[in-house]
Amino acid sequence: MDTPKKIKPVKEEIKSEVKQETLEWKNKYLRALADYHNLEKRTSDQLNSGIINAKKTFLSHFLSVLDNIDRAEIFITDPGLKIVRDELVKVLKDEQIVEMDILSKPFNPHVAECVALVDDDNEGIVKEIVRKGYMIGDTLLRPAQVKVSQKKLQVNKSE
Amino acid sequence: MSKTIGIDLGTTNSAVAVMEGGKPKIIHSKEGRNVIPSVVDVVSRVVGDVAKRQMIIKPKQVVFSIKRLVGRKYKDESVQRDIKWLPYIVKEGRDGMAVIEVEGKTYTPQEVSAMILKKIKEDAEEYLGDKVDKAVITVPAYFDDAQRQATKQAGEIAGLDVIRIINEPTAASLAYGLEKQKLHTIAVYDFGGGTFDITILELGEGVFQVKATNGDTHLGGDDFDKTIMDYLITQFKKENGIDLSKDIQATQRMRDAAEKAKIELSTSLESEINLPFITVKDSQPQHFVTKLTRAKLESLVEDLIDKSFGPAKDCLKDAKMKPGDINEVILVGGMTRMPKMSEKVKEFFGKEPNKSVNPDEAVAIGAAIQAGILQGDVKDVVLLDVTPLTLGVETLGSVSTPLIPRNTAIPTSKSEIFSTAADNQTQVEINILQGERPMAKDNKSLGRFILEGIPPAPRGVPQVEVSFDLDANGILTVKAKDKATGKEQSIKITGSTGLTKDEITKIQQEAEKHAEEDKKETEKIESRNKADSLVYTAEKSLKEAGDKAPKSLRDEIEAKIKKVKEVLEKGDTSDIESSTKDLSDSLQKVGQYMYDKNKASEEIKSDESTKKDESPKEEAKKGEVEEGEVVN
Repeated sequence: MDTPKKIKPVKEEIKSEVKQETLEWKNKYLRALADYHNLEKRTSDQLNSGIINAKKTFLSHFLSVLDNIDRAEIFITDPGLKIVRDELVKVLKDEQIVEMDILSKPFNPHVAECVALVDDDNEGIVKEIVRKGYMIGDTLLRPAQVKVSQKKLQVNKSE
Repeated sequence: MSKTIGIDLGTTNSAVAVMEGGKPKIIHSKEGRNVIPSVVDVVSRVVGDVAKRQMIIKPKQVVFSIKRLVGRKYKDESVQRDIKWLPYIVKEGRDGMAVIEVEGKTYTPQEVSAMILKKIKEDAEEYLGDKVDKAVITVPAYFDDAQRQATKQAGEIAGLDVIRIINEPTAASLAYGLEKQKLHTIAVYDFGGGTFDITILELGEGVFQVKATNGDTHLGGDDFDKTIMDYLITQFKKENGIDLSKDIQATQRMRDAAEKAKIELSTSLESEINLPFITVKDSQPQHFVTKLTRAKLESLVEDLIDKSFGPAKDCLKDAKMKPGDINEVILVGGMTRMPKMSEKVKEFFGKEPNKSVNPDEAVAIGAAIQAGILQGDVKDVVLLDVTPLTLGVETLGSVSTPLIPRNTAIPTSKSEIFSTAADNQTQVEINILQGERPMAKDNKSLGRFILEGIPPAPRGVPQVEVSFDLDANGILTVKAKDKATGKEQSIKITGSTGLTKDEITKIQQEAEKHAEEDKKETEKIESRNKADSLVYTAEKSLKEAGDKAPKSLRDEIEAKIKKVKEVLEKGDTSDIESSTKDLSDSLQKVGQYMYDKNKASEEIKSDESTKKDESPKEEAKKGEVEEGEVVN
């Protein structure tokens, strides 16, 4: 008759063990579920940004073509070239790609890279655009390369 | 729970990664790049690309290569050498340490590094949508205690608890999973943007030991770009007599073109450099169009590559080893993508270098893995079991059709609809297969059962849904259900993953070994199945057309059907294909004829089976899509 008494604590022990294990699994399940939800969210974000990035990469290849048409316009005066250029600009504009308007404005490193300095009366103004910069919507597609003004005196002072 | 990130704090570029779901993942910067330039405008505390764009305007306040000064004394030989070319001011600070001075204010290299780390932390937080306060940071193997301490401080200033500083080459080998193997010797060849490092370490069984390290702190990818650009400028001068080296716009375009060509030539043998309107001569526009071959590029930079083998030899000597003692060579740093470089490394070590991990990301990935190990993520993670071998069923022509591909995480389930292969077939046999081979006979049969009582119908019409359910313990339940009658039959198989590791490897190797012949056999079966279906369709349409089709046409088709049946017996794939095509062409004539005659009004009575070619195996099933073709 002793046996049931002996079994009981063992039963209890098993019970608490099982409880513990259940809790553990529950935690792991919840964590996995949360991870999954997060992944779902991020996947959809990534898909969107993936599409935008693919578009960016693809369209940015056309910018060097446009650069070259711009250069050609200096020498080729036939209006046909302008028609070609306007068409390309329109195609890009339909994809929300527009040239930045930065000439004669204060240099902004968020959208432009300074490749040279030029002496001038004022400081930090974009004096010349070496390579045009383009935005796609609100974001930067290709930074411009510019020459920026600099007061001569100031240089000596900071030496 | 906040995550621990792994940071590769580089001289030219930095990168960051994190463990996610048990796997390391590179975090892209807000600017969308996998690396962040290690450049800081210390006054405005702007870091990365934006800072880099102002280097020319603010040469004294935009700081780069700060890693060269971290934890070093001002009087250090290397610091004395570097201050000769660094445009910003370096001074002697407290305890004789090197510090920088911008606009009269001094900054320690730790503070500057901290600005980079802070940007990394913020970008990581944005990506993870969670706070990040712990990090593992990598340093070169040659960093001494002071330099390691300073790096740790930089992390602390940035608000990161640096739980471990690890060596870059160790991190790289972690990224390759080399620590899991038994103790062996590894050489890490790291050719970065501005520095070259070679390290020999012993790794495995919980041991990480740097045997020797060497390098060249002023040899890197930037030298390659410059060499290519100089070549282009010389080339243009030769052709047009114009020196472009003073023309900012032209050199800028040349620089971009040089970098593009360098990258392109890692994957292709020739790159075209196209720079129209590069300059003006006698008011005439001048263009620069040239081709750069990989061979030319290699001859240009060969000296630079060779320069790395001096330190490599010294490193081996220090480790008291011969190239043959190295078990594994891994490549790190963007420049190692150049085929010539890995070729030369192979020549030197007499061993194919390992380069499967993105060389720009390997160090950060390894740091993230270390972070995962320390955090318990890696060790403790419940590795979801995967099914090691593909599970499928046998279908028409003894083909093994996979339902659950190997490496699928379990528990999982999958169902697919199959149909009958012959007219009036009333039962289907489901043979459950395990293995990678395309033919049923080459795979292991786990069990089979028969689903009976399918109402008689032309082949392809009945819909039998076969579903596989594999639970977390690897127990597979297979059910087949006739959609029309709802009749179903099932089997439970417990030993579906009960293979030993060796057995699994053997099966996988077998599949690889036989891939080619298996492919041929599958093609053969496919062409046989196609021929078989076509014969069926042809006989059916002949019957439907009856006397309405001209006798000549019927004879022609009958002859061709006979031909197809004949070659089917002989079994030559190309014969089967050609005779099938022949029959298909003639058959179109019948269709055309019937259409022309406009005999659509007469309903054709569905007939009993016309053809019996039921070998026992063909009572199996085919994919739904293919069946659609047959029925129509």
